[in-house]
Amino acid sequence: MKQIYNLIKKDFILIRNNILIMLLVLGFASIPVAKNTPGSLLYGVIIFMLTFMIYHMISMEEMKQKGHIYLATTPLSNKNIGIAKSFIITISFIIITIGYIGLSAINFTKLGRIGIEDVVLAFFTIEIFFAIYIPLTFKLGYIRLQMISTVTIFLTPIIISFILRRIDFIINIRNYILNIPLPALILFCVIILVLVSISTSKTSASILDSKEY
Amino acid sequence: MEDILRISNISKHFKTFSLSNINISIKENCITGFLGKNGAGKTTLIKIILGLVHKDEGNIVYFNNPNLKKRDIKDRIGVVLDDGYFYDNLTLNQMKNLVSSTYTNWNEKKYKSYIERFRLDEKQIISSLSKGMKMKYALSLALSHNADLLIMDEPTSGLDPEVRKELMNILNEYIQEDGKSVLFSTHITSDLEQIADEIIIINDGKILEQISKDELIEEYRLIKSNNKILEKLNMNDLKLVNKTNYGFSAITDKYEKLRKEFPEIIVERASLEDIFLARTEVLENETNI
Amino acid sequence: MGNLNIIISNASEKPLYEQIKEQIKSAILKGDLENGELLPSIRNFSTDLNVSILTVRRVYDELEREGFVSSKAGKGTFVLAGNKDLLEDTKRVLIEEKLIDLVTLSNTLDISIEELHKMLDIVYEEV
Repeated sequence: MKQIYNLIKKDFILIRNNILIMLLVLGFASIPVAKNTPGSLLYGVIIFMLTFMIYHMISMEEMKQKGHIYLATTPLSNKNIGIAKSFIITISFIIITIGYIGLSAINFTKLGRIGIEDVVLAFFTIEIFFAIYIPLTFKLGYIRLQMISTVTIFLTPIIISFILRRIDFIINIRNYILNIPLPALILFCVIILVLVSISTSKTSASILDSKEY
Repeated sequence: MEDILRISNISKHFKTFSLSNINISIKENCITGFLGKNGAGKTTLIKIILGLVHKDEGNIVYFNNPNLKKRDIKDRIGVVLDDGYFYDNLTLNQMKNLVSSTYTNWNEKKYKSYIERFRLDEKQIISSLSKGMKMKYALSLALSHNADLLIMDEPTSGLDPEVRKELMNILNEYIQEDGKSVLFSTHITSDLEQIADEIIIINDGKILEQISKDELIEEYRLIKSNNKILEKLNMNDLKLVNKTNYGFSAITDKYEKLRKEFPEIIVERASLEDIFLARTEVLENETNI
Repeated sequence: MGNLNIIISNASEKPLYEQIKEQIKSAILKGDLENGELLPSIRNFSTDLNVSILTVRRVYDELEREGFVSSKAGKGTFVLAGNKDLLEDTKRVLIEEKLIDLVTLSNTLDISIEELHKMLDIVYEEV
């Protein structure tokens, strides 16, 4: 547990200097669109972009600073590295969600309100995405990772318009989620979290075990 | 004396460089110096020992126990790498917290005593450390978890003589405790001259020799005399011949024979550096045949 | 270990292990090192002398083989000076070796045994 805690702390310290800039940029960028965009969509885009950017910045810093090479000479378990990364995503998710809900409660910000169904849907999507993306970053390394992020940023508008065209499908899912009682939803999220953490830690460990530095 | 590390038939092939058929052993209670020119393969072999690079072939037995798990092996090894490989944005204390949580035998008291001794500031950011300070910090981490084997890659390169001397003192202290061993690579022979018990010479991806330092030094001598004598000598007996208008000097392992034939030759002890250069010259020729 | 002095000479042609071994031996023969006295640990000794631990190990091994010291696992290496006969023998052997050289040289130089005796008496007085 101590290892995981220290790994998470390390990751947040690595990007401490960038995180404020990122939030400011995002804040200013969303002001013009905030008024006319439904809360669910805005929240979905923001939370996905932020978790992605946070994770991405951590990976970049990590590869630039090379501390992971020293750690590879210690008995640190590679499974814990995977678990720590997936916890980072979850922690970021929780902080951003609370932040969004808080901000949207203030009328001045003009941010659309969101419901539990939006949070659960976003949580599910993000957890699944990172269960694949985290091991991938270990596999690919710095340069290829940079390319991927460029491509992802470039593709974002296309993905958003794709999602908008399928909006009915998403609304259906949201309505379905709304019918599920709260305790069941919480249980569902916890199960997802556990499954994703286990899977991320296993796949990450098997990639890291065979990695050369 | 038991082997704390036994490396047999290790090979590793890269596109432009190969380590081939490495056979060496690191003895317990010994400081073993790993000597080679830049690019000879020292760092690669150390990375293989540390598990940072995977070997193509061969076998390594750690701590005389072929059944040890990777984790348990790493738990008993202290590491000082050339580039440090720390997270530059972290403070010494933050990095230490991360590292210490990975070892089963972390000794915070010992760590603090090294930090104090080296006059390091725990709140400082790692990127602001000088090369020498970074090495001292790495050493503090490496020596604070009761490691039995200390492995260092070029720990003295780029350091001033005072810091190097300090490192040598620390190593001498560390090695006094029974069951501790040190392996360190260097291309600076004077480091080894002071402190090494055994020397492993690596050249172009091959191990040329593993030998006690004293034996190596006793094998060769520096001879000096005038150029008339040089003309009478068999050049095959001489290495690193340095001839000027006023005389010559050379390294030789045939000094007893030469002294009998030419009593006027001055025979002195040779430096490890000259011996190393002469030795790599000899063995390169031998391996070429 | 107050009575043990080891001076290693880089000018000497004798190998390091031989220099160290002879000086320990002579300390034992002269009684500077007493019976049962503990020699420094191999590691400590080699660091202090600035020689390889393998050299000191060789010295201790050879001294043990020659019966001057005895090593007990986990305890260290002790001086064996109790065996007076061995010591006397060794002293005699050391002198005899020199005498053999001396006599051989005398023979080649045609120096008689009487002459040699006289020379020895004079030298013994002088030194």
